[in-house]
Amino acid sequence: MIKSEKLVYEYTRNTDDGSEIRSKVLDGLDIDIKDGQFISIVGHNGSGKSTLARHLNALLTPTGGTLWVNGLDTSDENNTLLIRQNTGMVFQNPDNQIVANVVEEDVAFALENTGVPTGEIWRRVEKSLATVGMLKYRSTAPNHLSGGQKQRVAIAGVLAMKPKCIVLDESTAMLDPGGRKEVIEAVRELNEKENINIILITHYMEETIYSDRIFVMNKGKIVMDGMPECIFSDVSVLEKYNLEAPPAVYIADRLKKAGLNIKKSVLSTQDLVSVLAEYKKGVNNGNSNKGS
Amino acid sequence: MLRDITIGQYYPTGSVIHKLDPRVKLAGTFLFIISIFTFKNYPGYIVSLIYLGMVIFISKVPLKHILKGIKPIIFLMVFTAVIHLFFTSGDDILFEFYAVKITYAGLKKAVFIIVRLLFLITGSAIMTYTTTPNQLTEGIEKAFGPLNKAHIPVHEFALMMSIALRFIPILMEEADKIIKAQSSRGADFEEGNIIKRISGIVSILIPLLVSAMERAKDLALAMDARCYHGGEGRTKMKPLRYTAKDYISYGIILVYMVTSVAAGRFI
Repeated sequence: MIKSEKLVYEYTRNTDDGSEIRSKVLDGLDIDIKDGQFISIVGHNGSGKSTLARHLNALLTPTGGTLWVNGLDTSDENNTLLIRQNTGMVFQNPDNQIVANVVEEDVAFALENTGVPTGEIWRRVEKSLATVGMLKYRSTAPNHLSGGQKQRVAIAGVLAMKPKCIVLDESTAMLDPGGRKEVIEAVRELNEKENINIILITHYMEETIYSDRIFVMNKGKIVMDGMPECIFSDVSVLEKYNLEAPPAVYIADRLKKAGLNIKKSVLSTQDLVSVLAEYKKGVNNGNSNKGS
Repeated sequence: MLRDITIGQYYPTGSVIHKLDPRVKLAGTFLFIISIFTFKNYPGYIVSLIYLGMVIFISKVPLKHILKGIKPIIFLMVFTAVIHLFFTSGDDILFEFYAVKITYAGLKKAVFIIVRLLFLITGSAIMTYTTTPNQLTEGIEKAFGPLNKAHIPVHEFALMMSIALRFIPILMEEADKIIKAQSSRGADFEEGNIIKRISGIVSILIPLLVSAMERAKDLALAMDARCYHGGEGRTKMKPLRYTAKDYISYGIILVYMVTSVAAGRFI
């Protein structure tokens, strides 16, 4: 469970002429995330979403307000290690977060750091590699893996800590479409089967359609908060925050504006296909005007 | 270009030597090198050769592969041998032609230096052929572990080494990309005088350095996020443990030291 009250992160920067600029990256956030939820955080560059992510496992600590992760205050240094075990983090660049030269040793890294006994390390490494479907690559060098596979190894490395929550900080940004799908499928499965809280930070709106809740961030504030159907119900609001709706939502929106009668909410391409198929049936029955 | 160097690249054959504890191999190589510098006469080298031959045979690394690794240093060997050959003074002159003088002592020294360098390189190459860089790092970490008490950060050095090894292929790939990017903008690394070429290299090195820094920053963050907090209280997934074959190997190394030094100094 993650809860924050008036969470503020601000830093001062010295300019060349000696004056100080204070920028508030996070501006009084109040969040309340329940266990087992799949949360997406979207926002354009500089909206503060990555900064928020880094607060969630105490890589950054608030300069104002309080953030509790599983009831632990992140500002308290004694809690840091425990918070990091509970909240794992997967970063953007797959190469820059793999420490060891062999897949299984990398998955073991966090366990070695926290002093887990050797036998237990082996069991947990095996289990987490199997969960993300990377067990057969256990003794491969990470350089020989694809981007999506590397991110799955990174997820396994986090999973081995048995976390309650996994934060993916733009982990799909550097991957090709195939790799993105691999990673999203892996975390969705973790969310459904292991009931692990997933916090997905992303640029790609189509990845957010399966989430329980979406936060839209802008200038350090959460400006929209709701279920995907609700967030994507009005494309023009998203555009105000420099965000693009997923392609299917966008097309449905345009069709609606062109006069097509779409009542169901459309999120994925499948939704759109079924809605259009229904519409076509209607046309064939002869009770509607010309299709496009 | 960097990929062509064969000395020191792991050569998996699954032999007994490959499976030995890296500490044994480190100690063995170290003692072997010391031994060949104590010899005063031929018999020592003969004992060394027998042992070296045996180790190569057991390791199953093809002799051809080992010889290929020696190639790049042949020039160095010949060069030092020639210097010893011509510039060693002695009474026992074998050959004299105006200022050029070759003595028996010089010839002996030249032969010895070649053999020593050859043994030194092959001996240490065998270690790296049979030990992965990771095992080597772990061996070093464990072997020098006691130095931790003297506030020498052994664990940190070992981790640095293994991370460096992990990033070598990544940075090589990156260098490749930068070279292509700079060439496509008209940079020329092949032509011109030395100064021009060196300034061309700068245009590769600086972007490479910047990107390495970025990677280091990312990696530090990722390590923090995975609870890294120094070597204290760490456990190992694959801790080093001596087995029977390691103790036997230590015994063989001891026997070798005694016999070779005795042969080399007293016969």
